[in-house]
Order: sequence, then C-alpha cells, then structure tokens
Amino acid sequence: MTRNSTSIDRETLVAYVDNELPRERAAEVERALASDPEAQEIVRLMRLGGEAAAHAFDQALNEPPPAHLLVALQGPPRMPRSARHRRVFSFSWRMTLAACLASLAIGFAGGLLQRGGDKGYGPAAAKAQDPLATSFESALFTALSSGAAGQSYDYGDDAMGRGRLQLGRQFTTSFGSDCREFDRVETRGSVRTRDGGLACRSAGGGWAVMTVPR
Amino acid sequence: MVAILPRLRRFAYGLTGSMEKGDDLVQAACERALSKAHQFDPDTRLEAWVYTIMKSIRIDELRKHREMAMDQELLANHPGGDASADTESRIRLAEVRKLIAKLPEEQRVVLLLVSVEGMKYREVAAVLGCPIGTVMSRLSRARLALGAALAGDQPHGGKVVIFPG
Repeated sequence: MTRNSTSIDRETLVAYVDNELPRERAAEVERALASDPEAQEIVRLMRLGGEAAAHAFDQALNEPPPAHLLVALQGPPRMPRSARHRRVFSFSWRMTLAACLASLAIGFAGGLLQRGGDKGYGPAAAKAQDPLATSFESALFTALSSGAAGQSYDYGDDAMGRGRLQLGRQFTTSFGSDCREFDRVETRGSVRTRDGGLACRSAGGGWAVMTVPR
Repeated sequence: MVAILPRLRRFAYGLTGSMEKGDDLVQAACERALSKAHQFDPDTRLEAWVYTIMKSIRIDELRKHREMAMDQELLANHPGGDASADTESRIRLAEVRKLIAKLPEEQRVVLLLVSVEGMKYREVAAVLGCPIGTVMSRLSRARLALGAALAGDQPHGGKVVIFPG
C-alpha cells in the first residue's frame, strides 16, 4: 500500500471507522493512516458525522406514542389457523403486540379490558378471587396514590405468597390519561413470576390496570 | 416493556424530519406489517423487516408527492424534546437534524440505519436490497458531508442558530 492519501478510498475509511473491516485490513488501514493527514481528517469528520447523528432523534424514544399509532397497532392480524400461524408469531412479535394492546387500553381507560388470563395478558383484576391478587391491588392502589418512581411496595404473606411491586415512569397519553408503569415480582410457594404493566386514571377517577408478561 | 415501537419511531423521525410525519409512517408500516405478518421470517430481526416496509412506503410516498425536499420549516420549528439537555446541545441537535434532512434520501436512510440504529452493513444491504458496496459509498458520503458541515461550524463557536421551542 502506498502512503498517498488517494490509496485509501472513502468506502474503506468509513468501514474502518465502523469496525466493519476484517482485522488484517483494519491494521493495514491503521498503518497507512499514520502517515496520511488527509485521510486522518476524513476519518475524524466521518466519526464526527456518525456520533452527531447517533442521538439526534432520541426524542422519539422518550415520548409516549400517540393514540392514533396505538390504534393502528390494534389491527387484528387475520391469520389462518394453520401450523404456519404459530411459526409466524415469534416470541418478540407477540410481545410487541401484547405491549401495544396493553398501551391501547390506556386510550379506552374508562374500564377494564376484559381479556382472559389465558391470553397471556389481561387486567390485573382477572384474578380477583385470589388473596394475593387482592393484596396486590391494595398495594398498587396505595402506591399509585402516594408513591414516587422507583419506590417499592411489599405485599402478601407466607400463606398466600409474597410480592413486591415497583413504580416506574409516569406519563400522560394523547388521550389525556395519567398513567404509571409498574413492575411486579411474585412468589407463590416455589414459583416466582415477574411481569409488569400500566395503571391509568380512568374517566371516573379510578384506575384501569393492565398487566403484560415480561 | 418489550417493544420495538420507540426505535421504529426514531427511524421514521429521522427519515421524515418530523415526529408527526414519522408517526404517520410508522402507522402505515404497522398496518402493512400486520396485514403481511405471514411473510415475516422469524429467523430475521423484526425491526429490520419493518424498516424494509417503511422504506418502501416512503419511496411510494415520495413518488406520489414528489416531495424530495423535507419540510424545513416544520423541522426547524419542531421542539427539541431534550428537556434535560442544555440549550447549547439542543441547538446543536436541531442543527444536526437539519443537516441530515438536507442529505439525499438514499444517503439519509443508510446513515440512520448504521449510525442511529446501529445495524451492520450487511443487514442494511439486506433491508435496502442493494450491494454492500453501495451501502458503504452512500454512508461515506453522508458521514463526510455531515461531519464537514459540523466541523465547519465549530472553530469560533460557530454561527448561532436559535430554533424556537
């Protein structure tokens, strides 16, 4: 390799910056760069450009999605009931849908969405007959009334099982509902489960609670 | 909560230059993705598949509206949204977004996928349906243009551009 700056093309330089070159080729480029101020400057500018772009759109990560977007995600996938059905809905895809549906519930926070527990997601009240679930709801209500983000609450006892919930982020949906995220860890006997969810103020002033498996 | 939605929104924001237009694009892409769920190959990354869908919707839209130029006014007026960041870096980020908006669409897509979404070149080539060499040449031009524009602003603190919001 000559030490002329034109010997390293820009495609190679950008690949070098992004660690996309094979190790040997990267070492060659590194050696050539040492005596090539022009190429060094190009590398510097490419780094600057990449680093500047990296966080330019982070706002989209931090804002809760608008309602119309959540409604769009509700679209029921009309899947044929075939073997392919299961294959298509990979774990992450189902999780995404579940998360989106849970978020969707915020928009219609007038009441609980009646989904069975067998769907994997549903209102926390679905197990209202269960003492631990009742205990959870009571703890959640206390937490929502007075808790701060990150605060934990323990509930239950040795007989019914024990749980801990932790409050998460607070945000307001496009519909104007105030919502809180929460995490929940429960232990019943030797079985430990972890999930989380959203609690949103309903129009009537109560809370609509939706849990999502993790 | 497991969801790729925030990343889809970030990509769409970068592509269209505004959160509103970006969300419209995400919405269209999600609708198309749901209707074509049977085409999704579970061995691939879901977001890469949706990026492909977003890119093709975007191309359709650009053809329809011949809207090759970004809505600069909307972009400039869009609030920074970085509540915790100081004013200087907010202005800086707005400047970066404006510069990215000025790039040709084909370069912008590659820049977003590599430098924002952190995808490997071969993944980007798959999303765009083009050779890796094309990815590299578009990316090198985009990065250099952006870097040079930003460096040109730097020496004396640069020209101060105040964006409302």
